[in-house]
Amino acid sequence: MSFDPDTELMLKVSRGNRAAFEALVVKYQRVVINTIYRSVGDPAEAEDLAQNVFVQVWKSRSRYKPTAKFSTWLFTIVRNMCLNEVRRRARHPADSLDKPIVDGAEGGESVWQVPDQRAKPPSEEALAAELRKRVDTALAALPETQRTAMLLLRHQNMPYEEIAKVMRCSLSATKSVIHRARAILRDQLKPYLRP
Amino acid sequence: MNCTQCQTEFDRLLDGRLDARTETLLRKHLADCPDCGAAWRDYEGAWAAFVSVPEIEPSSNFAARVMSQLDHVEREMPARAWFFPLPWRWVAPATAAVMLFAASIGVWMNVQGVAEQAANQELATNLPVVQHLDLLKDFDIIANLDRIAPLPEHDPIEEMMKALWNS
Repeated sequence: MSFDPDTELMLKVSRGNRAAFEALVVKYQRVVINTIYRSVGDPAEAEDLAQNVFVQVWKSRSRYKPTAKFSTWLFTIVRNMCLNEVRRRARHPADSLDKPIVDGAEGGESVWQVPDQRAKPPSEEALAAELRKRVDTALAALPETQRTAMLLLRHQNMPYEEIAKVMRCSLSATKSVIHRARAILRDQLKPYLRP
Repeated sequence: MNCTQCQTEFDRLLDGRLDARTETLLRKHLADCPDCGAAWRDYEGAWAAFVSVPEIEPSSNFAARVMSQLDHVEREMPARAWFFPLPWRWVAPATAAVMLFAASIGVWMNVQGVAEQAANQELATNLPVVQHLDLLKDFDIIANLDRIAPLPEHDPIEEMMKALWNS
């Protein structure tokens, strides 16, 4: 029986092959770190959690069964790791992931404040930076299922069927989750998009 | 294609999952309908903004750091395996099974004891009769008990007494 290349590598990993494991780490490090980063909002913490994800893959290697694609299995671990982090932060509300990112030194600015039309037009760079901030804020405000589905679609370009497996829900529910998330992003970002 | 049909296809259009014919119809509707055209531009624009946010770069030594963890994990795992040879998820069901087995043995022994006690009690009550039967063992009546015709179900004397009583 032939599998996709990543599954073949993981089967080697399950027999203790470290070179195969390193190949998988190198291939997936960027997407795993970025997916976690968009959930936790801190690059250093994202790297620490990503490291834990790969260590967990190594620890669980003997239990790996090639019934699904390797990426599905990997991102199920990523999601569980993020959920655990969300729960841990929920017990320590000072670090809550759900707290909106507030910009400005005063920290009191409304997150969805509409730009002041009377002000001088900002530069292209400033607009782009502002839009990036708004995207981060909008993403952080999404419910966990919607955020994870969007990140899997964006970073991994994962098919809906695979996202459904990672999220442990039906294909139709996944489509609905993605549609709702996109609609929320549209509503939140609309004031900042070019006409 | 109407406006509702058009807007329900936005996700498939964005993900490139539409067949060529449907996409042509959809694009034509978007060009002809200002409302749907504006809705599509917002939907597509928000997604484009989300996708355009730059990714962060992993540290140059990230993979090396992960690999350096493996030795530590390997050293830890045999010790854990020695202390916890059973996966934790099996501990509760295994304990329940052992307790159920022990309880079954206890109930069975208890039932056996009660039955034996009842038999002893019955023997003690009927001992004189049994001894009497032992004495009669040499006679044919005991030896041929199974050949004796069973008693009638209705006792004629008892029936007569009942009839007299009722009259």
